[in-house]
Amino acid sequence: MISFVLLAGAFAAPAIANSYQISVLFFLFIAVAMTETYDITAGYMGYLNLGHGAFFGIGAYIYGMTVLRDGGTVTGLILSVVAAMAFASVVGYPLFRLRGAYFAIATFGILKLMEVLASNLRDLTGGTTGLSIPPTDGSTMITYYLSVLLCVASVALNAWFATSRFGLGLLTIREDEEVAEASGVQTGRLKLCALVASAALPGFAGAIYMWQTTYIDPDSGFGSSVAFAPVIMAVLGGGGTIVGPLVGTVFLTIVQEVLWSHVGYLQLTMYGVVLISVGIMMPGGLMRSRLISRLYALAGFPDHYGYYPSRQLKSGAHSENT
Amino acid sequence: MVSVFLQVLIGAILQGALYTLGAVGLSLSFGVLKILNLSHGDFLMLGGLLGFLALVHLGINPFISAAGVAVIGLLVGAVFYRLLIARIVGRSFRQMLITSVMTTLGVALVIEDLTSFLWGGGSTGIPFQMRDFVVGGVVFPGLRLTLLAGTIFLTFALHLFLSRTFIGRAIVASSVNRVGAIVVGINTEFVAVVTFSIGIALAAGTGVFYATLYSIEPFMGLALTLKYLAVIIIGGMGSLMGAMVGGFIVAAVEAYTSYFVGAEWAPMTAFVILIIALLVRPQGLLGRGE
Repeated sequence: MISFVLLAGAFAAPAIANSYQISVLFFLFIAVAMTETYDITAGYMGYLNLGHGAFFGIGAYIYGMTVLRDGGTVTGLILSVVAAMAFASVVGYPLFRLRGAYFAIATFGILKLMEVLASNLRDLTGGTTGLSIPPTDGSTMITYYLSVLLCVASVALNAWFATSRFGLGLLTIREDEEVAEASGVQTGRLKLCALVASAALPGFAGAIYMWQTTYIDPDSGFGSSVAFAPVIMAVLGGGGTIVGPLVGTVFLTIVQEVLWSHVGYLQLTMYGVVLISVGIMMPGGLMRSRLISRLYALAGFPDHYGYYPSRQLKSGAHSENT
Repeated sequence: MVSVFLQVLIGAILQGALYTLGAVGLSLSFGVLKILNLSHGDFLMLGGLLGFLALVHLGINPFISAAGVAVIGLLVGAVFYRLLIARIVGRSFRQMLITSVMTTLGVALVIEDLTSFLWGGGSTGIPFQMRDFVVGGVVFPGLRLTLLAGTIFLTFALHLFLSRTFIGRAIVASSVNRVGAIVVGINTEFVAVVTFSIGIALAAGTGVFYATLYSIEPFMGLALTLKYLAVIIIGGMGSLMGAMVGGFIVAAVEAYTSYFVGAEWAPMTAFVILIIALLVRPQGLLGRGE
């Protein structure tokens, strides 16, 4: 119910909001999509993918290159999604030989590789000066609606992982990979599928980001902030839940907007203090803090916002208040 | 040709020694605590900044101020551990990984932003010169050689500390097997504080050396930490030897890449080696299996 209201609000927003607010919402929706898809590998499967931003960067660059070569918008969108998924399946096979902190750092290494490649392959990517494409008419509105769709799709994908048999397989990998394998879960195939599935929407997000801003450079495509943002937002909200990444993203985006527009200096310090306090005081994220859990219980929601996203497989998707 | 080769090698050895000293603290604290400290490189930056201030305002020789900075680093490390890290240690491994990334990233952002706010955003190096001397067509830069001697001395001292003293051996034992260390009566809590403080102290002290050679700037910390992570994973986590091997490999490949291929490809080499090393030996070249 709440989700319908929010969705209607998102579609009606352009009628009342100015262009600045629209672009804030656009970036918010992209961030939500990044966090929700990041949460598939990190929250459900327990593999901390610090290179999630690489899918975004690849999407943006591929879209830019396609448009510059007169490939057209639709081809660009399709190609960027395909490229991101192909990239995920290529790097996934070697990466999944690693676990824990090693996996996390190797994914970050891949992201850094992409960053250096993007700044050094000047003919393709424009080097450190970045890649620009000519702006198109009405792109703000089109990309805004696409970002709404993207956001909805990412939440739906995350919800599917929370409720499906496939997602349950990922949970068993997170809890104990050896036991999962011994009880017949095809861990290798499952992990690769999850990574590829989590790459598609970030690729699309990168493409519409490029479409809207008409500009990408190595830092905004593959930089550390692009990579860390979903990690922080997911942890803040509570990884491995459907609502957690959404709440975390919205919360942090609001914090950022307030800091950037109302405080003249030391914004990063305050941002850092927020991160430290959440890391120390709410290790499970906002959605698992006691206060929120109690509110949920009072409101009569089932307790699947706890440490496990959902174990009720038959009932299908719940009515999420997303 | 040979002299060029040697020249690059000397630079690489020095850089490798700096990598070793900077990264070994990260490696030891990961080994003992299983904590990923993303703010490690920022303490190197702070150490360099202190060394710079000591030379410019008080006229203290960087080789002396490095010792002082290391002592300050020891205290700061202990406080940092008590205030933040102690609250994270003891959670489940995955929780610890995620919360330590989050908390120490927060610390890194705070340090970098506060430093650039108080100091200004520019980059600086410690203006300290020494005479160079030439043997057989190869230039031996005086400052670099002295630094090399200093870093090798420190590495050797660290090795003696880890292998000969009780607390050093307790650190190694806790890193190999935490539960086993508790069973034989090692106070792992105390070992954790000491490891963490020594790591920070080494990073800060190395920062002074670093700043005499290269320039430092407030926002360099995170990038440095990531390179150090690559270094210690290539060599193998949790040991001095691992940090050394990783440090020299990365430094040598970087130096030869930037000389023969082009300086713009050098930042990439650490991560290429990292990924190759992880695929061939996921536990690091000298690491133990889990």
